[in-house]
Amino acid sequence: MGSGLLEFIINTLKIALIFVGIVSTVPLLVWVERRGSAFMQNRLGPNRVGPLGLLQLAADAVKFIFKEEFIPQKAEKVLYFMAPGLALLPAALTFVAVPLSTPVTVMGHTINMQMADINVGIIYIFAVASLGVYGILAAGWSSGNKYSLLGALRASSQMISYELAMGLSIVGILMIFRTFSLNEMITAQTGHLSFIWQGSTTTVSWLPNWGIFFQPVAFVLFITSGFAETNRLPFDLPEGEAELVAGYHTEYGGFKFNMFFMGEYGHMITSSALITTLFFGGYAIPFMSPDEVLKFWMGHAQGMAGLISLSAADIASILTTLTHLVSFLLKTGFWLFVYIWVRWTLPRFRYDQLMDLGWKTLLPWALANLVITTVFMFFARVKM
Amino acid sequence: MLGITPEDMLFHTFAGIATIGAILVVLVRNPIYSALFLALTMCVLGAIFFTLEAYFVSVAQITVYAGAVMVLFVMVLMLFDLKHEHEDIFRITPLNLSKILAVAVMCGFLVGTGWLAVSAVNGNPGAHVAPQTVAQDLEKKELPNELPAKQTHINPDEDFTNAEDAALIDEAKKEEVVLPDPNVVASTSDAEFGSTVSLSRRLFSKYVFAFEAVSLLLLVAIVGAVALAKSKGGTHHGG
Amino acid sequence: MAVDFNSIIHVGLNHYLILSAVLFSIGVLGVLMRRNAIVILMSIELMLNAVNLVFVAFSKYNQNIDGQIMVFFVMTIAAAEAAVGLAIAVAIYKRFKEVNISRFENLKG
Repeated sequence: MGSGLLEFIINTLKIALIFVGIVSTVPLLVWVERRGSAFMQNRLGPNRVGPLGLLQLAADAVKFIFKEEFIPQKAEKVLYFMAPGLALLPAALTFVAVPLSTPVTVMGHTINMQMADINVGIIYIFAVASLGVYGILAAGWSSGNKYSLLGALRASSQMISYELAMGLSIVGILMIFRTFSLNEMITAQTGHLSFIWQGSTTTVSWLPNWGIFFQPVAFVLFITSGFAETNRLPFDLPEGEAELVAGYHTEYGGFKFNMFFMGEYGHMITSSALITTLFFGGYAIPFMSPDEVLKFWMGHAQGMAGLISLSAADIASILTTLTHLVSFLLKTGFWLFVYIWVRWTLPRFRYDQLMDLGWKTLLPWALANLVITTVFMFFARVKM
Repeated sequence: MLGITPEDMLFHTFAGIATIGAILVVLVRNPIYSALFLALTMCVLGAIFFTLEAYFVSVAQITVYAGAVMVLFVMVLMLFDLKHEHEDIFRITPLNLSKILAVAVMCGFLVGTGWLAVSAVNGNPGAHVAPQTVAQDLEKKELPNELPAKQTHINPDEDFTNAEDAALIDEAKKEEVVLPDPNVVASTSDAEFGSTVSLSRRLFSKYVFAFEAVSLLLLVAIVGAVALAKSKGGTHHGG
Repeated sequence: MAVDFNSIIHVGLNHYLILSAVLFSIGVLGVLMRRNAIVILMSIELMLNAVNLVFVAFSKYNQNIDGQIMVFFVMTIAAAEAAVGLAIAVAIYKRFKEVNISRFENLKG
């Protein structure tokens, strides 16, 4: 019971930390978006509140909390209150299966740097992400507003259509890595690029062993569907200002609107984390496997073991985890910046163009990618 | 207390939520709330499947049922402008009471049949059976009332009875790992029970005809649904 | 007869069968008592889910993966049936502006 209780406490701490991490990353992301977009548009953005304008988001959050909570007269009250929670919940749940770093071994306990090492990791993430539609539908319908309902229906049909393309584009990667578990995918992406062609192994030593070199088309399809799933520009029509006022969250203000915002940015964070895990090696450092990093730190940990009361192996393990965490954050941060960059660069798709793209372009390309990957794998195995 | 394990607590929690959700599906007046409660019940059932080690089926349940079918229900209901209908399920009439009684009797019948069947096979009604190994179970054809210990090296080949299937297995065993780092990728010949690998091996060998038939059925359903929904409704247009 | 708490709390195959029977009966109650066509369709989905639970429970206890394959097919067919049923409901709504089945009793008697 002792070790069970310790595990329970560690898991609760992990859940709290990661949830707080997501919630506090969102203001940082919004700051990057506002300053970054300002620089792209040749202006300055918020730079008065706090150093570099960093406290602007804190000020905005305080403003949101103090705003009056109102309910439109024709709204369905219960669903109106539930909708922001319904939108935030899947965004938080999807981040559970993402591995942030290597497991750290301290004083005999091994702690996984992900909330749950689910063996069907990637399809669990897709399953829970598909539950995000409920928040949008509930918000749109319960507002009692025709524009909200229209926006909600557009948003939900967009999300459902692009879920298909996203799921199918991943199948090639799944076939290559032969696993659903994200941890195993990262382990399979360590070291130098090496593949078997017609029975003999070839190693390209100047490229890391990343998924993008095996499935470039799938990468393009996945990142496009990722934009559509998170309702980000250029697939921004459901929230399009100037067309639907604010789409499904027109009638929401104050803290409830904030929760929608957090849900959308949470989806963005999970999407970027997935892109790095599937195509860019996740937390692994290019060309070095986690064991090599551990050995590197072991060499340096001997000196530090005298200062702190942990053994050298423990310190090396902690430093390896930290290194990999930094690597993961850098990669994910880069893709988040790409999300923001694309938003302020590309114009918005019209709704029929959007649906055409999802059904008539991405879906056939994903299927074609699947077939070609299968053919390639067959010829790679067979010696002709 | 009383040796309650976390798995037991999980099951009882999920079972409670599922039952309450199902009752609310039937009782709530507004059909949209009904649909949302049904989506909740399906998610909880997915969680129960996960505890039963049916990993792929559990995520499929959430993706297909809670994430697609119920979304379709909710979207259709939101487009209908249903005024509050003259639903009279809340009136105590002899008809309603007899319906409830009949369903209660049927439920008791189902529960009793299941219980008696399980314990009759074990030869000991309602007893707490000690865990047995899988090999013993398959020989004696008994239904253990205990969760068997987690089997991690069940060879799905044992269940095949066909010579053709055995040939398929031999051919599949000859495959080499094609791409990076073979040592860390999940081995495909020794599959855990309930993992996608064992499920797909059975699906694409023994049940491949059913698989293709179901895909044809889905095509027919798609065409039918589009044709029906595009019609102008009623018989006077012929559309 | 003394109530054996241990066998109530410690989860065995019987528990899954009872849960499934209860869910199935609630689904039947929904079909019998509700008048909204779409809620009836939802109760049918609930019944199918209860059956899926039985399949998975037996699959686990007999260590036979065929139960999960059956669940796979039941899920697919239920989804197809829900789609077609909803298309019919949409067609009815377009014509009659309501889906209350007590209004469609022209064939009765």
